Amino acid sequence: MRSGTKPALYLLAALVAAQLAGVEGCDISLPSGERAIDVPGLAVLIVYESGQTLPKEQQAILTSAQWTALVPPGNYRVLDQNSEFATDSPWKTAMQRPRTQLPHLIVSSDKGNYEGPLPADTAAMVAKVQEYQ
Amino acid sequence: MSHATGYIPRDYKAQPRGTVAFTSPFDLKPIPKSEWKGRIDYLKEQKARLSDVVTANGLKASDQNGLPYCWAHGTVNAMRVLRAKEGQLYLDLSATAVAAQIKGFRESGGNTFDAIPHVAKHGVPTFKTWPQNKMDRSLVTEEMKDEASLTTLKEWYEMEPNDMEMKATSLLSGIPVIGGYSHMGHMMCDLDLIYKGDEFGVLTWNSWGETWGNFGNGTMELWGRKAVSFDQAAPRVVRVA
Repeated sequence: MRSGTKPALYLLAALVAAQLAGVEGCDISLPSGERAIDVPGLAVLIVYESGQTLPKEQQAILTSAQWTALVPPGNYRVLDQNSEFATDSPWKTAMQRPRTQLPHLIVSSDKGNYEGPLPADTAAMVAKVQEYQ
Repeated sequence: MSHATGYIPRDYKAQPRGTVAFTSPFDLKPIPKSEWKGRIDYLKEQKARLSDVVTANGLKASDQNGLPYCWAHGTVNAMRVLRAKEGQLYLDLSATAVAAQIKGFRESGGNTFDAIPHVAKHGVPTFKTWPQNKMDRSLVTEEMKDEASLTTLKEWYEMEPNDMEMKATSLLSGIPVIGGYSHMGHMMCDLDLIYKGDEFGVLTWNSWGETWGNFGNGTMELWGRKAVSFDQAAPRVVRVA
């Protein structure tokens, strides 16, 4: 194998994984114990584009207390894709993970990680968060 | 409690559209009026109105306490709402600090378009380094400036004057609007689009203290033409501390 081929294969694998996550959403296999959002406990990150008008069902997710009430205080963020970070943080790192669509959802806990499209409505969002509680 | 106001409508001849730093034209796809009622009902049912965000996060109405700084309070309150929506750490942000620095400690009226460039560039300190309603030049310290710099707000929408469709689209999209109301000489932070029958209005968050208001939470309803604001702006992206 030529020098440089292996990294290219790893990149291809990562792109395929990201594409899978983008199309259907899936439980991403990170190295054992690694969290997509590196904070203790259940953590949720929604990345969206604030200049995009969403269907009302998805729009409601961004401001609904129905799912945020399930997450420990301080353990969720709902951020525009262009948000700036004043300091390094686990949220900044999570924002830099590959994604193929907006709005994008990451749920992370001891049970694993979900990375993929934002569910269609609040009920589905609550169910997704409960999966990782 | 004093019911001070302080809103001075923007002079568009002196300050034409597109000339305020850190603002950009409102570019959200308009939500047609035919959809407003359905979206209002849905957000209410899902407890996903901005007023629900304020309640769920325990945000208290600010109090300008006699100072003519409604325009800074409206701006900073919109920022507080957006921060809460984003799940960011609660901070007691000092609107007085913004207004006092812009106006050179004069008790002068103003406009959110005065506040936006300052907030975008310098941020807003908390009560820790600048207690609300304190007018003291000794508060301008490096510590205060460093703290404020963690809350700069990068992008704002400049909306067309009197355009209710833009305001409705913004509120229905979970973005608070700073509205300047000529009939009151007052600037406030609009939270929700509301309706009764075929009339639309806004639920707005005032800066006259937390015990003031129709619902004991500092909010008031404005209906029909009184809900139309001449100057209007909306925060888009908050810097994440």
